[in-house]
Amino acid sequence: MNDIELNIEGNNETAERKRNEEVKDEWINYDVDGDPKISVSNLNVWYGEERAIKDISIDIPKKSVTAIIGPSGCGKSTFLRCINRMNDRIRNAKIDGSIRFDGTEIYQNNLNLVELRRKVGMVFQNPNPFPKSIRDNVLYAPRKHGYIEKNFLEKILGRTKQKEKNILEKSLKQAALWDEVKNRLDDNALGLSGGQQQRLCIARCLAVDPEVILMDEPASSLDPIATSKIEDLIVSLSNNYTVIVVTHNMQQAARISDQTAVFLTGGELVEYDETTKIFENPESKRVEDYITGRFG
Amino acid sequence: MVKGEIKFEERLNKVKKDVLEMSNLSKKSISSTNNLINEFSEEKFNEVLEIEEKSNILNLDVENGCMELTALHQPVARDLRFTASMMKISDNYERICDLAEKIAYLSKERKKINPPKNIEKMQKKLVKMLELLEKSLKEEKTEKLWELSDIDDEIDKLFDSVHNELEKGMKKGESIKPSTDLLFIARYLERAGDITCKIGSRIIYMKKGKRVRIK
Repeated sequence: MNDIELNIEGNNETAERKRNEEVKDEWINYDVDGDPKISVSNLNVWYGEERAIKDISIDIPKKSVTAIIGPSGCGKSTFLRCINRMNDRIRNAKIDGSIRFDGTEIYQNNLNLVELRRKVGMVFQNPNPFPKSIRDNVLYAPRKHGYIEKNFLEKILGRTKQKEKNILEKSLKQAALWDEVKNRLDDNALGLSGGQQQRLCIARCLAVDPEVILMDEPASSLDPIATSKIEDLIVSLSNNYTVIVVTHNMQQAARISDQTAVFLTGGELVEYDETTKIFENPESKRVEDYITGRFG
Repeated sequence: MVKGEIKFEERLNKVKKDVLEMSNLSKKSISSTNNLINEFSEEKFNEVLEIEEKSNILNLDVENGCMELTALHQPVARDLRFTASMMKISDNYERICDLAEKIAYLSKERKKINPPKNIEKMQKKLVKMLELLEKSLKEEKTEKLWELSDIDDEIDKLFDSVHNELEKGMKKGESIKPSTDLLFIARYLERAGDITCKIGSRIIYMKKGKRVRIK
């Protein structure tokens, strides 16, 4: 936080000069309370010859919203995809460095990727519900993951239905969609509005009880009302989940996040600090130029 | 540069221009009070009143300019600090013009007794402080602002001496009303010095983002 200086005595010009020197080019200074949920060290990503992320180290605290901002092509989405190893699917992507999830290295050979992606859910820019009913969208993953018993005895005792109902209601309520769809759960999800579809995707992600939710510009294709609902939802989700949001919307990052990481061209992480600090008084001149619209 | 950016810069410049005008007005206003204290002139009295009126209007212009900047451009970082600080600084200048107006009224109603010499010294030091602020705002440099603290201390000491001198005079039997009027005048000048320090602190915050207190 800013210093409070009371009536500085002595050589004021020296003090002033010292303050000038404090303006840094890079500033990664966020003290995470307790163990971080995700700890990234010296992460580098290449797509073929092109380096998308350059030597990034960052700790993401538990149960909070971390915003990632920066100009297009600076590696924000690449960074996000590294956290649940979605970049593995890109043929010429090469990843170097370490990402620890609750202290466990995720870039190790024997890691269960299905389990990792259950724990680290993702919501994309454009809502992408399956062309199925609202109910089937939410229950698709829990059924696949075996959360809902399929054996005959459970079925005849009616327990399967009850479990499904519980998961469906809980997920849709958490995604603030329950009241709007509770009477049409078997309607096709594609009939929902854009904002509702996006919240359905969040409900779908919540249905498998993740620990981290990655969001890549989750509200950029939505109108202001739907955007506001998604933002409220993100803030309330952070009470129980660790949320990481990539956004181009500066004000959105300022409104919803606890800490903000600023990536700049070349895949560099230039500043990482409390959101209020970043938007009131960033340390880096380059970050200040970017967020005030005087850069690039 | 896109169209929106030009407008944004223009708005910032307009607010800054208005605040510089406020600075100029408050300096003029305090300078005029000197003549009033020593020898009352109707012309100077009206000038101070006119300045006070102008400063009220200009202060509203600054406020509106800052509100528009906030509503239309959602400023962040240095632009946010600029917008928030300019509103405060403008308010403070307006307050100095109010104090000058109070001094003008007291001078008008005051029965003639020779004012303590230190009142004039206080007034001159205050003008120096206001000049320092104006220069700092114009050039956007903060180095010299720390001098405000020393000048303010000198003003405080001068106020104490004025206070003592007038108190002694009253004890000796000088009329109470003109002496208390002069005491109020000195008090208003001292208060204007404090406000000037607050403006200085604000300019440092605006430029550096550091919360400092010049006092």
